[in-house]
Amino acid sequence: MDEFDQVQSIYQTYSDLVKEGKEDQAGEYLSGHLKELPQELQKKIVSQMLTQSIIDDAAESEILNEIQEAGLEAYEKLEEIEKTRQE
Amino acid sequence: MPGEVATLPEGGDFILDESASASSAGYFEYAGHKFRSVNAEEYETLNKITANTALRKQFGPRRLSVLDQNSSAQDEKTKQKENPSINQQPVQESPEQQPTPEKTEPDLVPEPNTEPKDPENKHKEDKPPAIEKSVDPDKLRFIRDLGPGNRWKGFGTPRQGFYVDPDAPRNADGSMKRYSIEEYNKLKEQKKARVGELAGTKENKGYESFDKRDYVGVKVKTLRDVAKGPDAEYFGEMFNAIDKQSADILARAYQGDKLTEEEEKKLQYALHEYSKFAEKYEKIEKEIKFTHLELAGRRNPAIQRAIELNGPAETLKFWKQDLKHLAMTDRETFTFLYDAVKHTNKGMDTRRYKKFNENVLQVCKRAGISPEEYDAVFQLKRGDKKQSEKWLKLHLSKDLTGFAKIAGSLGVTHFKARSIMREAQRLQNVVDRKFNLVGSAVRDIHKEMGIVGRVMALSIGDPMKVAALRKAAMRNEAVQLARDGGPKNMSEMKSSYTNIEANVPNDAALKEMFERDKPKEWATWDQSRRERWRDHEWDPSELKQPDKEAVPKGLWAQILYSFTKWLIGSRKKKLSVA
Repeated sequence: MDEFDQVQSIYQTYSDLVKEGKEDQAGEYLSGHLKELPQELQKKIVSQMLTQSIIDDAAESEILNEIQEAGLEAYEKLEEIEKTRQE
Repeated sequence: MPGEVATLPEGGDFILDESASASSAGYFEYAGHKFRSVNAEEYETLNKITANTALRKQFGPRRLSVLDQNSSAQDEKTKQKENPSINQQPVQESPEQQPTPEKTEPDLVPEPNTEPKDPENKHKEDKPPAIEKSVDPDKLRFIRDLGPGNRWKGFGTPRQGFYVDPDAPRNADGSMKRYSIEEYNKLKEQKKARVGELAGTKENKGYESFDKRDYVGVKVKTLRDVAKGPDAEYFGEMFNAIDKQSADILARAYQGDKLTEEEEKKLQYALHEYSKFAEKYEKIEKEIKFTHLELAGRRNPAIQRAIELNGPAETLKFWKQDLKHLAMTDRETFTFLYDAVKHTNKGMDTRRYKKFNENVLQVCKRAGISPEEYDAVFQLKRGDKKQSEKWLKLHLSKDLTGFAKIAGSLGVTHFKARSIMREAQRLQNVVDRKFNLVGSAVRDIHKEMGIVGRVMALSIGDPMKVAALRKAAMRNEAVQLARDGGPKNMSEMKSSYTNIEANVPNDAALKEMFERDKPKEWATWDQSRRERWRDHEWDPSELKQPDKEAVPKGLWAQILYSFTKWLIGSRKKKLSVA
């Protein structure tokens, strides 16, 4: 199997998994076959994984901040009610 | 959907009522839920609950004044009266100039005789003061406004407070400039639009709207600067991303040929964009470190294995190289990354973290929960993944449901947070809105505090905990996909993935297309010019290779695109240009 066919074969399996919604499996499969890909493509894919991961992390922390903000507010109000009950 | 609104209406008091119909007073739909104005009967009931003036002021429903005014929630005049006062303050007002707390709270249950508005003030309300474009909303700090004695003043409205810029020049009296929440949101929108323009998104008309004034502070390189060395390759990529015919324009520019006015404009735009993004890249190149690799590896075992394949040092090296290409060819994604790295490096807000951490420890103690319990449960080692997920499913759903319940009952949760927790709410089926806070005992309050604290405890620290929380909170497919800016449902997503797939023809078919499409000038071109045309400019429709802009967001789609690009590029390179 030449390089082109090799890449096409990995691509096909990966693509099928993604289209079936099995994204975790697709990621596992890809990381297991990375070394079979040409260096240029391999590096491109790893870079994409890293870039997207950092972007996702920032977006998630924003969401979590929102949860924390809302939680803090709820907490403060509960504290205030608690004080009133105790008075 | 009829009645659906994109943004929440200002003023009035609305409750979530899934049985409401379009004929209900103040009816609207938001984020898939039905809302309507609080009716007079409900208002009366709430009044009874908080009949005591002091209690009512402290705990009573806010934003109900629309009913006191005996007008509908849609009434524009009423809306203006309902606007939070913080939004009516002049932008640069100092803290000392603030009105007394009672007067700053028009959304508390109002006094019967509301004074008519001063026409001048009304003007201010209609047209809020202009916000300086230069203010960066990400540098602003939120100050919670708890009023005199740092006492809380009630519930039922969104969070109160204002933003300040500690680094900006002060007011004449030494106070910091203030920005209301509304102004802060406007600044965020403005910045988003600017970033969009910067990144060359659809809002940006590219070179057509090119204006040198947008590049103040950027050391713009000349064509001579970029003609040699590594700059030449990267500038070529940038120009090609702006205009597919760039190679031809650039070749003539290098030769000193006269360009048309439009070509000159494109060239200048490319030089300015190149200079701007090269500077941004230099900044990010210094900031990206091994810690970012660790962070990404912890988030995803597949990434961890990919890093191990080449070793961290080599991985970091080629990632940085790729980022420079990204800065030139996909400015939108690069801008996202740029902001994300800044955000990640800034870390968690120290003040908030400290305060929050104390709260967590306190509530854990009160609720009889050991903080270590979380560490034990969330040791998501690979072998324990299944068990951990089982635990998460059980406990996170419970905690999120409890949190959504209490937050919903208090009416303090922002709608964004509500949408995040929709899945949790669904698990519970309906939020128990009969929860009677006023009649609850201290013990019950402690219990609810425990729920809040437990959810919050999950949102700090170990990235695995954070990822687990995110998965639980964001299990709602629609929310997740909308956040990614991608297709709105799974079938749309599958179809968009299919669209990325290239129809890679065999060698013979490709050669036939190649011969068919060769330009008239082919015979006069040298080998490098022919190769440039073959590799970068020739784009036959049969290949169906999508434009970068048409590729849906998200990692999997981006990787599919890279495969496609490699496969087509590989076949093309086999074609002889002799």
